[in-house]
Amino acid sequence: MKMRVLILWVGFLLAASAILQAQEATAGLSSPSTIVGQPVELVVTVRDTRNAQVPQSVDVTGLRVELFGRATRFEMNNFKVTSTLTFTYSVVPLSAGEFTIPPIEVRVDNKTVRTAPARLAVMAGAPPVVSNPSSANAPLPSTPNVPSSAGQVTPYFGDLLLSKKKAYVGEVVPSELRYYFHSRISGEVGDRPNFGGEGFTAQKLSHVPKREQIVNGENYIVFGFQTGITPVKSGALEIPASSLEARLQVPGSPPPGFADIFQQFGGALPPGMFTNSRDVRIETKPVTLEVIPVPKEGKPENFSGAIGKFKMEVSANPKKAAPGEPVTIKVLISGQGNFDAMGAPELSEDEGWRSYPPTDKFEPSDPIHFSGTKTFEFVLIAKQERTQTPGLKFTYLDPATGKYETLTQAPFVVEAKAGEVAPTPSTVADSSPLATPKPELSPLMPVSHDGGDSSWTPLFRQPVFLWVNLFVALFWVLALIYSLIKKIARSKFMQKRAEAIRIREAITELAICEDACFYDQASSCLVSIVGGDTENIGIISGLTDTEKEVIRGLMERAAESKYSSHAGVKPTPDERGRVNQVLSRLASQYAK
Amino acid sequence: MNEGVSTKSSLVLLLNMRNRITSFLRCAILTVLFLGGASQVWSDDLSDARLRANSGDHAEAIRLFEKHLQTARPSASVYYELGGSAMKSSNPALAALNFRRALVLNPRFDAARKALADTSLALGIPSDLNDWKVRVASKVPLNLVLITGVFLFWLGLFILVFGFHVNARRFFEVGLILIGVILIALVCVCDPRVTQIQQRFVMASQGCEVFNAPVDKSEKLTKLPQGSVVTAISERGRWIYGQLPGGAKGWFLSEGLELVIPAK
Repeated sequence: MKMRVLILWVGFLLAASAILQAQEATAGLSSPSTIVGQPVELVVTVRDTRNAQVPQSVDVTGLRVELFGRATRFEMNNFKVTSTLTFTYSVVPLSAGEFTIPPIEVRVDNKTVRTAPARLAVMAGAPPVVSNPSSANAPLPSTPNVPSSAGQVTPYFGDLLLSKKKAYVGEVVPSELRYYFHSRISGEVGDRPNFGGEGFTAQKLSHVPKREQIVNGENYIVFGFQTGITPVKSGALEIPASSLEARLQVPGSPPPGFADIFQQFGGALPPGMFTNSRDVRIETKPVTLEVIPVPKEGKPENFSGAIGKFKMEVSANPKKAAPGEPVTIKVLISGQGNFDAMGAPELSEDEGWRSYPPTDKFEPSDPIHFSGTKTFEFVLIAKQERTQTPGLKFTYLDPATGKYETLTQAPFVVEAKAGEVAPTPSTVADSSPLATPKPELSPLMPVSHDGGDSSWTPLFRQPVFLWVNLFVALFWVLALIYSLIKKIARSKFMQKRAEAIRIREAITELAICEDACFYDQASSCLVSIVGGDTENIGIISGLTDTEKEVIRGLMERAAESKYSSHAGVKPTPDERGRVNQVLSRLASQYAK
Repeated sequence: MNEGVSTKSSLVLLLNMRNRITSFLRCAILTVLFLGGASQVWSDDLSDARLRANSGDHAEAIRLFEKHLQTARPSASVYYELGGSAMKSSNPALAALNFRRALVLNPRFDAARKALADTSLALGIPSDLNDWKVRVASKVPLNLVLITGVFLFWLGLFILVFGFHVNARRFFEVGLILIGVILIALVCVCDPRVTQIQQRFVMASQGCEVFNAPVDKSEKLTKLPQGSVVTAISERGRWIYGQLPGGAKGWFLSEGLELVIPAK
């Protein structure tokens, strides 16, 4: 019987070992910040392997990183066997500053895997001079507050860790929300916890890479979220619980009768073989932060609100400035503190310079904006010829000592000529927003007149203007039409046409006129047609001899009627017919 | 019989006319009274605003000036005074916008020009008052030039038309027309109410981010500081495609931007 159980277990383990595949390595710090001399833990976790090698120490200037622990775990979840190696390093800060622990090389069989780099912020100095020095300014503790559960292993729990328990109003307190899940359980966790409350502001939660940590001898997987909490009023500030939702595979009971099969073979059911899915909400415990107002003693009038530990670097450029050319003073404030609430350094008084509100830009070196560098740029234009720039000073409150510190910068030697104010450089390339301006403007000049228009519509688009011009345009069109008509009426064509009409009317009238005046009218009609050339009939073209004879007869009769005493020579009907015919033909010929 | 009917209809017509004239006069009197009262209301707001400004209550003065401008016809001097109050209450962006509006209405308003230059410098943005169109508008009475141009144009055209039948070279008339057209074109090009109709003023204190495309997640080209002026080219919903002060083009959200020339 025992042989059967042994064979079953061997087969089981062989199948499981096929699943064992290497390998990923992760590294996580027990706290993202600490103070000099206060160690934190760096935990390197290698999953899915049973043998790995790591270096005994890691070289980082300013830190002492040494290996001091190793643990191996086998676990089975839903017939899947996993093994985890955990290496714990002690990280002792030797000096203050921002440190990056480089990737740690882990040899797994014949392969090398690397962890991600880890960042550690180390603050200088001793605990602050406050009523409870031992509790203030402490780094995030590496040991969580595990809820007691009467000797049983806690499957999951949450914890809110503050870097200090006492802080000033406006000070940024780096904090971390941690959610611990026992490595025996698997599942999915929500994107980020809900976190917030009254009396403080918090930076956007930043995800910390998942890591493993041994707590009370048990291996836990830790999901961490960093933030910076800034209290806004003094007094006891209770930071409420924050919760993270998760769906977990927790150890469950086998189907009915399944355990009996194992018992028939004389063995027991392996732990973790069966799991149940469960939706849970993991909550941290509320934490109280004691908030005190900034000290009044030694507080400068122009305190900019900066709380932390900072250093200042200043440069001035150019050293020689032409008239109107601005001199830029660039101030770099770096360190750790409340950069978001920090005001600009103060320029010393100098009537010879005209200064403008500085631009500012912050480049954080951590996700919670606790450390980094803030750059201020002052633009100065000389009103009088100057040989040096104004000096600078920057005051901040050091929470470690509880005293105000002032960083000063002596004036820079420059050669600046006085002149007209030049426009500032184009802002298109400048990606930084300007600081809240405090304009120093010349007093407003009195209004000497109330000129200008009283409409946003230009004059040439205003209805009155358009109507007047439309009226003028209409008048002009009428004038144009009149002028054209006049011009057409005076044209040769129109004159000839009018003459033709007149001749046609004369001929028509000739046909019905009295015999006594026939020759006079016929003569006038002929003059109209040929234009006075009646004396020389020969020049009238296109006449036959008979027609010429008729014309000649007409001229003679007309002269006789006009000059002789025998007035009123009467034509015969035959003569009238011939004359009419000739004149009609001549009229039609001349009309062409 | 017919004579009696026509007399009666004439009387009815006269009575109708009398009624119409009476109602017209009544309406006219009411309109005059209403306009008089309204102008009194406007002048009261303006007087109050000036009193507040003189007594140093600039926040209230700003409110009253703005209230007055919502109902009254726009005035360069009122915008200038509003800008002055905004400047004294440490709101340089509002001051710059109103000085700019004063200059749109009266480009030869030297006091507003100087105040705008000072405010722009305080906001840290370059002055855009060096454009040739702005220089022309600041020196020349545009309305007078426009009227002169229109007069010369029509004069030339009328002389041309009435001398149409005369066969002569028409240098004089054509010259008048050309000068008129040039003057009209100059006004059309230089009038700030034309050149700044598409301009938007960055009012938001955090500035205005310029994107490569009308999508929130697209590449950010730059960030314009408060007080910058951009020229809109086209609009797509909340997004505006426009030209930046340096000549570059990009997309930006319409929130936080104010029209330099207020919408009607």
